[in-house]
Amino acid sequence: MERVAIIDLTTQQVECREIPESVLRMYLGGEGINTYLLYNHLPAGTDPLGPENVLIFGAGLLSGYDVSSSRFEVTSKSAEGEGGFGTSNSGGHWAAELKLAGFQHLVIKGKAARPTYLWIHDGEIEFRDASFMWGRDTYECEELVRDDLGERNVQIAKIGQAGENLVRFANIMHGLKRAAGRTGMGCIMGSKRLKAIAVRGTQGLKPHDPARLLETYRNHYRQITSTKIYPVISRYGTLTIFSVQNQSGMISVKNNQYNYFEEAEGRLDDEIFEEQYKTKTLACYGCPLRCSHRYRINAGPYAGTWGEGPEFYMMAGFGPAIGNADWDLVLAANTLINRYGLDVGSVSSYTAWLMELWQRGIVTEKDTGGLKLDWGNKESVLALIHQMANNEGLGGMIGQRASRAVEEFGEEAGRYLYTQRGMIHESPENTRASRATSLAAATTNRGSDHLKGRCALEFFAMPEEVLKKIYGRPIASDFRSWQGKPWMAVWTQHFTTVADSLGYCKFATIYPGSTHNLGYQQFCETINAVTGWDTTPEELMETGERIWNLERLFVQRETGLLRKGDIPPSIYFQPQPLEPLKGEKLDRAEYEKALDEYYEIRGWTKEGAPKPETLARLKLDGEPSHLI
Amino acid sequence: MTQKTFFIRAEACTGCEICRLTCSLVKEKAVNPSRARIAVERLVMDGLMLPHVCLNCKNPPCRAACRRHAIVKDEATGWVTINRERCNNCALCVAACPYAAIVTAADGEVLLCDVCGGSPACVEMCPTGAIRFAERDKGVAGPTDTAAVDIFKTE
Repeated sequence: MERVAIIDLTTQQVECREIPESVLRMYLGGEGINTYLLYNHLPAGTDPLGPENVLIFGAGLLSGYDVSSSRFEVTSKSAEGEGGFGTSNSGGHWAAELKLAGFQHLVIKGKAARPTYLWIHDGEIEFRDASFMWGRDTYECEELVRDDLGERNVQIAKIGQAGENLVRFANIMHGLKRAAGRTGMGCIMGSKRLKAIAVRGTQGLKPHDPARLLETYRNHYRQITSTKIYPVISRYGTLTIFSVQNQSGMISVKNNQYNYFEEAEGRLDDEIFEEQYKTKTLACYGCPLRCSHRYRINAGPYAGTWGEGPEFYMMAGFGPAIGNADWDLVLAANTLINRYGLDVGSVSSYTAWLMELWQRGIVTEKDTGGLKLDWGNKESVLALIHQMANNEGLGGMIGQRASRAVEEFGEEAGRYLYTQRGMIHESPENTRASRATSLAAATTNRGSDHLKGRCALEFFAMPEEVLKKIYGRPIASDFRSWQGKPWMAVWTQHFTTVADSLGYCKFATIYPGSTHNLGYQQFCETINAVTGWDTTPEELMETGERIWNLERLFVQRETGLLRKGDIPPSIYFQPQPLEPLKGEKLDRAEYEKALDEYYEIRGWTKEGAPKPETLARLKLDGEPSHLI
Repeated sequence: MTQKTFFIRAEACTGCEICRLTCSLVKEKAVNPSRARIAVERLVMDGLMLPHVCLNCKNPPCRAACRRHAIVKDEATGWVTINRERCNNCALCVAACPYAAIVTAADGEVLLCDVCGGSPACVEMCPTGAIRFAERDKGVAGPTDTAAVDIFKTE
């Protein structure tokens, strides 16, 4: 039986509850049960940074059990968006260790009187003083926590200075690079004066049928390691996406002014990283994909800088998005961002925005405190990161105000700030040419979210028979066509939600574009071996839909922002200036029509609210139920 | 008869723990890396992941250290195992092992690899070939005439 610990930092009280099997089956774990707990435990209208906000950690239902199922989800009322749905997912070893320590979920309430960290080991939860590491970065914390506990084999989720200083887009970090980013979960953690959660478990997980689990595990391992994408992803990780995106004209250059970055050719690519910087390959728990890389810069102004990462988002965000084609800067920024615990997408997006304002003369040296924000200016980029994390100067103001910073610069500046639901649009994303991805990313519950919205199979011009087999309905193989795309968006959103609730890494699933990776059928096999349930793919799809609708109810309750929040950033409705895909844009009327169809498929009103009969069908009409 | 044993190339270990997950499922019928017969020393800051597993020494120091004669080395296969009936978990063998390859579980039980009877499940599942089970006279260096053959090479 899975357990949840309800931890009150104000009173230092802990209450452990078992999660009823009915709730587990309806919401699984990870994102699903996190959402359920948030909806039930958060008083409506709470200030995100107030002690009443709840911060929820959740390992997936299958975290620890299967190949590549090592992920955990952090959920709260958002610090970054307009107080909407805040949630983020991270890999590493923490989720499995939390399960081994005896918990699937943690609900953290209140606010500690002084800096505190939690030490969770084999069913015990201790509150420990964290004053000695307050003000230290996430790399330092890895060593300081182990030193304090006298334990080597602990896994640690923590915040850096950015979270302590309540930067609206601070991350919760795990290890040296694993990050729960976007929506400011690190900011919420900082507001509770909670520096870290260290976990260690030796109790063991007892699957329903160990022999079947071993067989399932072996089969899934073989399946993942025999796909065509495996040799590539295990060598380069997500960096391999970069050149493809750039050469297809689907990247954001200089705050989305352009869609192809010629300067990156031969300078910013995965091969160069592999040859010149990579020192070691690492993996998350139970994962053969090993997409983490250690790196070291050997020469130049940042010589000696080392770290772990980066991903495609770092490369594109601190590459073309800010007009830079130098790997050294990308890596130096990556190390800084991870040590401070800042979000890559938001930091690079705000930097790109400020640089465009500088280009247009809307922002001058008077506003920047002397920083020169010309495209790709290395010193200024790094200076802004330091400022954001430490709440100083221009960067500090951006960090504290996020998208509301626009008020400082006037209306003209707002034209170049691309936001959705108060969240800045992820800087590397420019998918306006592909319809399903645009729709799916824009209609996500946290806003502007490629992790729920990227319909990767759209990009490969796959035969329509294959698409029909996967999605169960006719889908146009041309990514510029709208035909079948609302359904593709809905399907993808449910699939990714189920993966995040079970704890699977999306790279091991069909999400990144390999149809031979894990899908619903394989999820059901593991669920059966672990729990004994006779879950079917249809049931899982409905579970995804249930979780999605509960999140929507939360968004409706907290922000009231429905249809108006489901529109992509304004730049998506303007034509792309460069080949390839020159002139591509979203047509407003077409988009609205697709959105109508999307709502109809979902059983939502024209305004984007779930209809009562939809809620009844999904057994959500009784929420909040307070079963846990 | 040629004897087989483990060879480790720590450089290739990604720290994914698949070996320990598999081992615990095979030996314990549970997911419990802390009770796996193979350990991975995790030096997180260095990015070094060091697998430790019984190398089945020719003249095992653990056997010499055991006062209850609970550790046995099979003459034919060369494999070193624990006789559970004789072992009282005193952990002298743990201290004696030069390779830190004998595991002490949280409850104090001493755990030693038994090579799964000759086809270790951990090796089968290692995605990078960081642990190999091969003929011991090959060693990591191997003889001169096969110096160009890498026993760790992935097929």
